[in-house]
Amino acid sequence: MKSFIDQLNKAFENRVRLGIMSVLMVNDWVEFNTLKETLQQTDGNLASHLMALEKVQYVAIRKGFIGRKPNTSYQATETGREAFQEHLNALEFLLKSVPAKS
Amino acid sequence: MIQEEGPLRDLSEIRQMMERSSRFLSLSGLSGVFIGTVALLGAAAAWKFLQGTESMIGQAYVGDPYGFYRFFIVNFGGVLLLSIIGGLYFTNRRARQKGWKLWDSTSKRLLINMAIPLGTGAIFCYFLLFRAPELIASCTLIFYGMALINASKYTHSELRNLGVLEIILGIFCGWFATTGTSLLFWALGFGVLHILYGIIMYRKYGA
Repeated sequence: MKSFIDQLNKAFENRVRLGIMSVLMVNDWVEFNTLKETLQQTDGNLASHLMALEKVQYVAIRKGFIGRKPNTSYQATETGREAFQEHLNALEFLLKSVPAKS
Repeated sequence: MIQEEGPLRDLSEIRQMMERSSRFLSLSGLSGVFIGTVALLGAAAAWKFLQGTESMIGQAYVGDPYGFYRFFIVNFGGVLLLSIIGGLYFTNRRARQKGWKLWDSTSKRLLINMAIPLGTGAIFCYFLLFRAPELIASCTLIFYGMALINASKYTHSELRNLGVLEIILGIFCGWFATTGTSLLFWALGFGVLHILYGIIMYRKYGA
């Protein structure tokens, strides 16, 4: 039992990070504001989690401008996709090994 | 306890996030029923207008081109306008009920991908208006079907089947363009199919 839990990726322990990766798995570049609306997080909270994911190189960042407003978009990297997929597999494995609750 | 519930909740949340961020899910079944009803009324009005000339859209056009244009622009312009207003109203209502936004990246993407085939179809129908007006009904069905198939990647995937059916009806509509049943196919495609699909979607996903 314990070993399955060990396979869960620490980088995805947090629900916000799970949410970020879920959105980035099915979309190409996603703007910060879109992420904010979808996940309903505050700027600061979302930014810090994005930074954590960027640090482990699971997300790529692209900074641009719309007029004078800075506009930042994010994309899941290949490493990030693989890591997230493994995390999902581990979650599924964990679910299968737990007897269904009545 | 928490560890048992954790993965299950995580997985369902992940699935939800993936779907909600990539597809526009506020489309309401009620708008389908509404649009279908409006289309049926429009088709009935056209049927009435063409009576006597027994369908021959081409004949009605040759007999009185000005009256023909005026009627069709008012009638189908009215159907289009009412459909857009009704569709927006019910979709907005559903989005608000769910606490989602009507205008976000998913609805933007949906609209752009629908607009490409629809805009092409509109331009093509404009050409037909002066050269082969009897083919306009068929043309609207076919391009609308293609718009739905294109859009189905960005909203409920059932729209794909609806699009295929619209194209099939459009082809029949074109085949029988000069026989008078073409209006019937148009009414089936825009009226009956919309109502049926609206009911199916309503029962599957709620208001």
